[in-house]
Amino acid sequence: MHNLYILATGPLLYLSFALFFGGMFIQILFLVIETYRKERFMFSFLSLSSVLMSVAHWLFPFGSTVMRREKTLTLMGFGFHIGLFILPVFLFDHVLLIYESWGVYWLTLSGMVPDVLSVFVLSACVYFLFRRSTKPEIRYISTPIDYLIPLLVIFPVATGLWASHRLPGYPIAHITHILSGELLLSAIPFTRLSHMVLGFFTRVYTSSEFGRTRAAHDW
Amino acid sequence: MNQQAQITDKYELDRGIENHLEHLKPETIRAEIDAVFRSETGSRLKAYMKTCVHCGLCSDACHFFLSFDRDPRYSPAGKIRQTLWEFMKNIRHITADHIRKAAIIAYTECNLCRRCVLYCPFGIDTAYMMGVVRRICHRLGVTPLYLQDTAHSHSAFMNQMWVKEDEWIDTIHWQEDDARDEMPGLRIPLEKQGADIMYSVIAPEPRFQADLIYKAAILMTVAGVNWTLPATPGWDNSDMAMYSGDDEIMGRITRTHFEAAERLNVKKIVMGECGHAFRSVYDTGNRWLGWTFPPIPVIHAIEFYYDLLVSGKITIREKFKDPVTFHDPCNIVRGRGLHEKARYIIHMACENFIEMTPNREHNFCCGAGGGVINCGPPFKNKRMQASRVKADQIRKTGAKVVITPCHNCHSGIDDILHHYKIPMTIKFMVDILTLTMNKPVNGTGDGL
Repeated sequence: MHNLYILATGPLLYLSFALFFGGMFIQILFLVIETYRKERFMFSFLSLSSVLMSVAHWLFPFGSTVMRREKTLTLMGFGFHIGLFILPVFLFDHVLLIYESWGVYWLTLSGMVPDVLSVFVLSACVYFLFRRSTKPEIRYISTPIDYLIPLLVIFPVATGLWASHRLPGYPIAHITHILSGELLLSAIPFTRLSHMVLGFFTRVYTSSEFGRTRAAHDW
Repeated sequence: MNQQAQITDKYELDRGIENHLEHLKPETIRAEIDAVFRSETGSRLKAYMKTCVHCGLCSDACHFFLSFDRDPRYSPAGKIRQTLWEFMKNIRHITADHIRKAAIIAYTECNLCRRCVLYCPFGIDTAYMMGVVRRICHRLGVTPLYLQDTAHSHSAFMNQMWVKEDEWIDTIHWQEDDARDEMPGLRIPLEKQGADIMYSVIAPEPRFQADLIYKAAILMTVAGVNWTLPATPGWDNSDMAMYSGDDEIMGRITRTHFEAAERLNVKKIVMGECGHAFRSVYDTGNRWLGWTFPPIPVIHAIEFYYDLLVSGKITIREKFKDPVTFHDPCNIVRGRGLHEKARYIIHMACENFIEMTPNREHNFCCGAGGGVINCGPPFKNKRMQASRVKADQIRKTGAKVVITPCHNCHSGIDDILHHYKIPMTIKFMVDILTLTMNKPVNGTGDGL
């Protein structure tokens, strides 16, 4: 068990960081190089003001028409993404580990906040799975991996909650938490989770085209 | 399969699509798809395909999906799943049947209206992707017969409707004669060097809507505009090759249009009330030719009318009384943001204006654009079925007149009004303006 912990917090952790950062870096590099090589014209349509206006509308809850129409999805979606970003980066236990390893630290979450966020993320995953399996138009375009991705998120969050409350069997939950977290991080560049970075690229281009060339709102 | 679907499928036999499918070999299909992916698309398409999280939010944006009782096959992402998705995943196993299905979906079940782009959190441009499918089908020679006929006309005559040069000039003279009955000093100047404006129209105007040229001439004369029309190819700004996937002809059309303006040494081009033509000249064709923006300023008729009203060159005598509503055409609203200018004109010229809901950038498509109406009779039933939400949207306004400054929207909504028995008429903006504006009886203007 201890050896597994050493493996998970040592080589596997660095491997997942390498896969995540390296994978995303290579994807972005290829994207930019290929755009420059084959579709260079796209750069000449970029417009900072259009991008800022559009991103502002899409990054704030209910800023776009579709968000106002799909209220439950908007609430779940925002809570989910905020939780997914804040939990791993600002959780006290994570920051402590980083402090112990590298001597740096930053603000951490306190009190009930991590628990509330975790429960929200888990509920959102269940909601996403429910939505995907019940709405015919979404089921039609769903692949097995689309059902798997929320499970990839559920594992580290649920086991993290379990381990942090020291519920029975928490050592196993702890190890599972680390391993599944690493799996999630590693999977990002190779699955649709890469939308966390690629989504900004598509948004930047679309909003530039809409704002500058077409003088219309894209939200 | 229900009875309605069987009827729809029965009418979907298109000679243009079927005849070419017979000769397609699997290796040809593979080679052409591969060529488009390798040499004509790049990271943009890849990023769209990778970023889509299959959330389905685009579904409710599509009038096909809504009108066909939320059938998942008609959602934007559903259409991509049946076409590009298959091409990318199983390029080795794409058969002629796949291509038939892809052609029918891309040409007749998507108007490329870009409404779904506004509903995608990542701004994925499904219209662009359906354009890629059309490009593949075009390269394989699998295009709907009627649409291809229009592309042939563009290729041979540089206009959409096989209008010969003498027919064009003759139509202009005929309209000038007619208009001089109303306004004796009126001229329609052909080939006038150094005019301020070159006015360009689409071929259906000389072919069967010549009164629009008459009305444009009245408007120009009253406003005292120094304008001209080319007598040579280039007078037609329409571009169905853009929609058939024939980018090469699209480029030729746009170049001919700009070359006519260049030859006449005009300051800018004013395009008639057509949406798709504006998309081609302003957004698509010019890019294919390597211009970021058009080499000669191009404005749509709505911008032109707006300028004339704001500058006081035309004034309104008496407002139009009947209740009117406005259909925002995709190519000049989502394509150029002219919705507020259009509303300014309507408020100036009409007494009772009722908004459609949704409106502006979020307006539903007319169902005709994107070359869908040009695919002709084999697909008209499906087009009418797909326009059910549009019909409901129009009916709910309770207006008597629908105004829309786009030829495709005009024809499409005209079909909808007849099919769904909605007691309304449809008008172009110039119809309303020439009815309501001040017209001096002996007006001359600078167009002499």
